[in-house]
Amino acid sequence: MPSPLRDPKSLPDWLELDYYQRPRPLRRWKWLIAVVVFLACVAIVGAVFFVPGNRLLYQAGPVSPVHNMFNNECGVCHTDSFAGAKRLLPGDAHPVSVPDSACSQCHSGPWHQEQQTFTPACASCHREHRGESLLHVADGHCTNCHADLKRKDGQPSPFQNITSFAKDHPEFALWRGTGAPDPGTIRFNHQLHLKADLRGPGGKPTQLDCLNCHRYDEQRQYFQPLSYEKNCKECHPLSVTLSGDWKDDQLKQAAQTFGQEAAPHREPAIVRSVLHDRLAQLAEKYPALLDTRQGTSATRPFPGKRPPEADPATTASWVNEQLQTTTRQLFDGAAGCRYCHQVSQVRTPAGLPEYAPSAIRQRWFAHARFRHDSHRQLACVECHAAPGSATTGDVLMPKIDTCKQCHGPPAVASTACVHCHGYHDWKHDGYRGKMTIQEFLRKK
Amino acid sequence: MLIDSSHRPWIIGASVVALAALGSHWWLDRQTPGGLTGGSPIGVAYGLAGAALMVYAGLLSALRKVPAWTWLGPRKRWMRGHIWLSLLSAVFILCHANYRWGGWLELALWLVLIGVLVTGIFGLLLQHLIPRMLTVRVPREAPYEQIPYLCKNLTRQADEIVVSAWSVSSPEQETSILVTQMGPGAKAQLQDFYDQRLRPYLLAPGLPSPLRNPMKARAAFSRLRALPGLVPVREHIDKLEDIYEEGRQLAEQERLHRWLHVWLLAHIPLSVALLVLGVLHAVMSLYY
Repeated sequence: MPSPLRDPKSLPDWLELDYYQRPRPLRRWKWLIAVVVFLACVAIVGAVFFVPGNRLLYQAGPVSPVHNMFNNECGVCHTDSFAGAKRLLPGDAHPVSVPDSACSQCHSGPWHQEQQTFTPACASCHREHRGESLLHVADGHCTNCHADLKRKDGQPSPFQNITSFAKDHPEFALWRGTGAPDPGTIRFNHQLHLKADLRGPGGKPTQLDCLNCHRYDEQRQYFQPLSYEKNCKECHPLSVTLSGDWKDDQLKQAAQTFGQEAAPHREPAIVRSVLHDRLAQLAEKYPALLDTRQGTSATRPFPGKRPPEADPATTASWVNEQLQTTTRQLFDGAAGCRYCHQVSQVRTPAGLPEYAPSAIRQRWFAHARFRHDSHRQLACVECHAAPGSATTGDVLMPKIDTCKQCHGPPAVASTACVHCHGYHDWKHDGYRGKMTIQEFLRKK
Repeated sequence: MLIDSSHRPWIIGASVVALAALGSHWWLDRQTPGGLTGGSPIGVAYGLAGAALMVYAGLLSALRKVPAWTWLGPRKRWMRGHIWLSLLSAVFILCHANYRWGGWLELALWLVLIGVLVTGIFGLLLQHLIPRMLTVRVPREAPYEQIPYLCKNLTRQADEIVVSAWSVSSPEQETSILVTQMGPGAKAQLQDFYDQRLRPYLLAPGLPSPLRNPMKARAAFSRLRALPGLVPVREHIDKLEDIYEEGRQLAEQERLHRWLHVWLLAHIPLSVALLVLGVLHAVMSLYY
């Protein structure tokens, strides 16, 4: 409805004909604010650019914790100007903006495998500006090659068609071969040691569990090496029994005390020397011991052996007799060293036995990392079938299917390659730092 | 601009491209070890596409400067593109950023972009609703820029009406208790109402006044008409009320018009900030 006060016929009377030429307040404000905002943005950007120590603002994300000290020194790693633009050009094999030479100022990064046909740039796997550890490398960087692995020599590889752990990771190398037994030579029966009615020190009933012997190392990653002193001695002391006709209680007590003190768990020559010294000291302390030789069972020959000739009752002869008795107990007795150790048939010229090296393997999966502490919620026997193992040759390591129960669908435990494997072969690490502290800080 | 059926091709086209962009990003992200980043060639391609769409959206204001360039196509088409392609640009930028906020600069860019989009959508809603409200509430619509001039004119006309009301002869004055309602007393009331309320309202209809409420205004005019002494000038009062109604509608138009355009006070400066920060982001990203 038009206004009755504004007759179109008298338009010039009520309309300013030049109104469109006048500034419009709203439009003026609009452009004024836009110009102010523009200038403010330029000023802030300029201020940020020229004020040192503000490079953090330009970063798409914080650098990893280990590079924190370079947070405001972009040029330490970004050595080339407009590298970000150059990598977009076609024909660049390494689309990263940080060259390897920048990394190698401080890092070695040895190659992965001598047969590898392709070496990725450092920054293509180790992604910076994500605020997380650079060791978090995505599986795709590994399967990029391993999904269809080629070798320089053209030979096939057991790792050539791996796209994920859960899907097609091959069986662990330990189980891919002929199933060789545990090369360890220490005779050990896990089943026996895990029995409920085991007799411990002093004949007390004892129930062992795995962690009684297998103790975490300081990092709680693997276990400390097994040793007789730490793991066996308490229940299996290397005690000996002196021979003699013990009529005197004091002498009898001294002989028993001597026997209870375990012999050292060392090479046979050392064992014999230590026993010799201890016997000599005992004889010196208790001269009456020399009179206990008569009728001792030690003079009884072994079947088929000639009885030893009687020596004069001197300290030396008593010591030798007792040494012969005790070393025989240790070296030849069923409860002696050979109870656990494999002894060779041939003796040394000194008449001492030789034992095979224990060869207890510290690491079974040489190409993988494992952290026992991360799996502490599980009972050991879920992965290691120790309760059913009665012989030394049993290999108690799990197969890949055991791992896949959790590390793969439907469970959600990580299957990331780098959780178990490392890329760089650190045997070839040749980096030797040469910077002084001042040089390093200048670089910072 | 109304979102009508003419927008359908734009909506469908933008939706299809957005879905294609999101789908391809999802697939490429899965194929790329560690996921896509904004700096990877694919990520940069998404960023360039988003930036190009933003630049297109921004060219709408430049188009106004060259109205003679008709070969650029009709302005309505540019407006539709401005709406839907700028929304599409957000999808490309989302892919470019890989659904991350990024660092401080990128966070600022995100906030500014969100501000631009929110003010734009708000403006679109206003443009959709307010013209209809104008049609209903302001039948006597006038060119917006003319409103102050028209208000002055209305005041001048009202002044003349009030002056002429005094010249209308009244019945013989009575000296009764009705003195304030008869003859000069009544006209004095009319003059007082005009001077105290109507005239200030006509000069500045946007300012607070009891006459901003049409119900109260109608009551005031009715009260004047009811005065016995103003019976001879009722025609004058009717004209004054008509002038008031014209002024009130112009005030309503001004208010609605302000709402119709005030969002641009945020939309355009934010777009400028987006441009500056976007250029900075691009330069720094390509430099490092």
